[in-house]
Amino acid sequence: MKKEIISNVRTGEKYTRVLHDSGLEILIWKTEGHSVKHALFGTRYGSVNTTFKTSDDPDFVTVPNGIAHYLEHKLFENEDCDVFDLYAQTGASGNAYTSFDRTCYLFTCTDNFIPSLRILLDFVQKPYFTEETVRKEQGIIGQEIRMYDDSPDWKVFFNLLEGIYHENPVRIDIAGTEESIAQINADLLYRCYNTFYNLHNMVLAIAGDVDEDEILSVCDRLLKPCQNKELVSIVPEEPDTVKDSYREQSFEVAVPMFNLGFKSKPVSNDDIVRETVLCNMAEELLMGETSELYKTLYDGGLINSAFYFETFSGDGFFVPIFGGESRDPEKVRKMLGDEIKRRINEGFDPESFEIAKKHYYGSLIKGLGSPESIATGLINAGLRGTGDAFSVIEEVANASLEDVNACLKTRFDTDNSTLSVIRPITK
Amino acid sequence: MTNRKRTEIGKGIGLTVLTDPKFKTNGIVINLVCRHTKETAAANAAVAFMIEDTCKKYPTVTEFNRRLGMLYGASVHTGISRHTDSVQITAAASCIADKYALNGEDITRQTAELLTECLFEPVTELVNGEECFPEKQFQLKKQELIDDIDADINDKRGYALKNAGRIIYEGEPAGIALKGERSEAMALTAAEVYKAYKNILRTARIEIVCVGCEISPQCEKHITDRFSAMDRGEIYEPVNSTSPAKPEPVSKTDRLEVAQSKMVMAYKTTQTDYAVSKLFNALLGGTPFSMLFKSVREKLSLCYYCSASVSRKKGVIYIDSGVESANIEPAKNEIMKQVEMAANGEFTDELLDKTKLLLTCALKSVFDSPKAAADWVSDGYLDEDIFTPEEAAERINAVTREQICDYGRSLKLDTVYVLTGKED
Repeated sequence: MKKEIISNVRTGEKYTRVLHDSGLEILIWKTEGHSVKHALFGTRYGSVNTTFKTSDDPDFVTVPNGIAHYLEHKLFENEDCDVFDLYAQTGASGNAYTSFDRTCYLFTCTDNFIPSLRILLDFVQKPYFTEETVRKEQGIIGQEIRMYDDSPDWKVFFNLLEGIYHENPVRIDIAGTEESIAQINADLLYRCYNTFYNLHNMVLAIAGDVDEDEILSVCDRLLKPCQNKELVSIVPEEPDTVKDSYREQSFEVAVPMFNLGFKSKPVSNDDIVRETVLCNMAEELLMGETSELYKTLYDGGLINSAFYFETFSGDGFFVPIFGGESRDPEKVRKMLGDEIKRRINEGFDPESFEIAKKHYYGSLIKGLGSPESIATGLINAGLRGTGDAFSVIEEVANASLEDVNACLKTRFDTDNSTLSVIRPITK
Repeated sequence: MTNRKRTEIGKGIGLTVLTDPKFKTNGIVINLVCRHTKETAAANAAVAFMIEDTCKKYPTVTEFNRRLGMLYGASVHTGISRHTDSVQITAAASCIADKYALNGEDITRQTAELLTECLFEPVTELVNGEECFPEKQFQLKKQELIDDIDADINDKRGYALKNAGRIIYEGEPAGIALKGERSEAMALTAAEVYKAYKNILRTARIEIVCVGCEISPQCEKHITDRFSAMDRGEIYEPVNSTSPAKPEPVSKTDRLEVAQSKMVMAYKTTQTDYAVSKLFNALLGGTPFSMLFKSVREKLSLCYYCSASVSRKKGVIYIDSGVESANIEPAKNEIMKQVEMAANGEFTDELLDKTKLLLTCALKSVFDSPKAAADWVSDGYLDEDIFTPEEAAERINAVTREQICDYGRSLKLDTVYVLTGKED
């Protein structure tokens, strides 16, 4: 077992990083005085990981879309009981989520932390599927897919990804489709489980007023050592250009909704924090609430307070996105495009840059206020493969205006963007 | 350890200061509670929009947000919510604790100043000698309010609950649309909304909570000085009454382009005990091991979600579910069966104990979050129903099986609302 303390001078905070003999990376951040304890057990397995191989496989295998999410649902069912029933005995609140590039199992508790941790480590390492239980889940997941079919926010986002990407599985709903989940059976679930739930591919993150030695002692007893199978997951080759520059769908909404995304080159895990930080700052400076463009669009009634932006980045994908409600999304696209071109030529002004930097730094400090957000930051760092939860704060503190201007030039290509629009149904 | 003190700093104005070194942020929450009527709903909602992101000192959204940026990304926001039969307008600010400032600034006091400027010094103009919100800014905010009302349809679950609420609380303040109806928002004028603003300041019951790592005496003095100088009239006192059950249950179905139907069932009672209502609700449908979750979703696969929530002071339990159209009747029958089973005591002691454990553990976390702590304290003083989370946990642990059954037997089905697809 290898143990190190990761500390940060800027914030005065620290946590422990352990590389456990089982292959699992464990990150523990002790917060004094909090009643809440939060733990996440995550694997680098999300909806995009549909083509993969390990050292045991002769060649790459491709599986149906939606398996990662399906597996998440099924792991909650033990042979003899439901995991929620187990947590109920400790008073913990358990949950799980699957995203594009990860699956995480988590719990929050105030009392009985160690018994709750035992439950988490035990059930995630103990899959139990039969053809009958797998079939039964298809009904529930089918209903979940249909529930999201009624969400315009979800649709405007996935229509954007379908427009941006030709082949990358990020364009498919995380839960898959009713057709793809119909192909899932117990054998496939076991195959994916054995591939991605190898402890070398997983991270345990914990924050709260906890006892580190006690945690490691539980880990020693419950973690099942496994061999590193040198997992490789690939995405199909993706053209540099967007598939469609415009996508539209009608829906039961009152005001048109839009997502505008710029197709941008994905980056490795080593660079993803820096590139995402710079991209976030460029978005803030372009169209954040302190920008000239925001004021023009807002005063002109072209956007409202529902406006937002984000950098959608992960394993094999990278897209700066602007979204919200607008009566004229095409005009917003045109004006943002003009502003991008102007700023590429002129650069952002230094004073606005300093304000954006302070703003960003403050939001990160706020994130250190609760065990939930701290543990989430830890699991993000662990699953990125760096284990450095302070890297975001440091990248923000060290970002320069020149870096942000350079990011704007490379990541906001107005000729390589997609506008996704949801329009109200015409009665 | 959380330190807490409350003082009356003006007529109908309470200020509570809560500090705990574990917090990384400081926050100020100002809750203004007013009478909720059909005539004032839209105007009060518009006030929340008007005072959110500008003030006399920083009169444009850009200048205002640049100021927030300088305060290390401090945030100021306003909101509108129900407080049982009343409406609550909230103006709140949050910032990082002063010790994290890179250049030693007293961020909290400056953020408090910005928040009070929003509330007391909004941008105005003179129209025929009368002070009023500026017409151009007002028109933008009015459109935003209308868009916000229109956007309710985007979230089908919330939309179904909103429509069900009109039927459940017909004729009561709680049945009046929170932000008013679209037509009422459309008819608003800048003068009318400014009048509503002045009326809120004069008559609202106000609870202020400063919560965080450390609230400096200067910051507390600033808030005390601003609020104690207010010109106050007759103060509104929040009233709470249980919702009368209808003689016969009312059923209504609305149709919309939806893939999954939503069903809201409401039961009513005259019992409002905190611990019993919370525990009954959680046992029936408030946890992932509740009776409804286990039967309706897990065993019978009738719904993707089926959960219960309680409006304690109104004596209403809502059960809302996302259900396939073909399963609406079976789901409804199963929900009614589970309510009856709960009333008959057909649940295990183990389930009761597990539910108590979950609720009491959750209560221990209230003072871990500045926002949750502020809400807890403010609600307690507004309702004159003051107890600590520890006392709440004791009350829940003391609830007996017989009290649960008695509560269940007092429930009467009042409303069944369904939002379903057009093709059916």
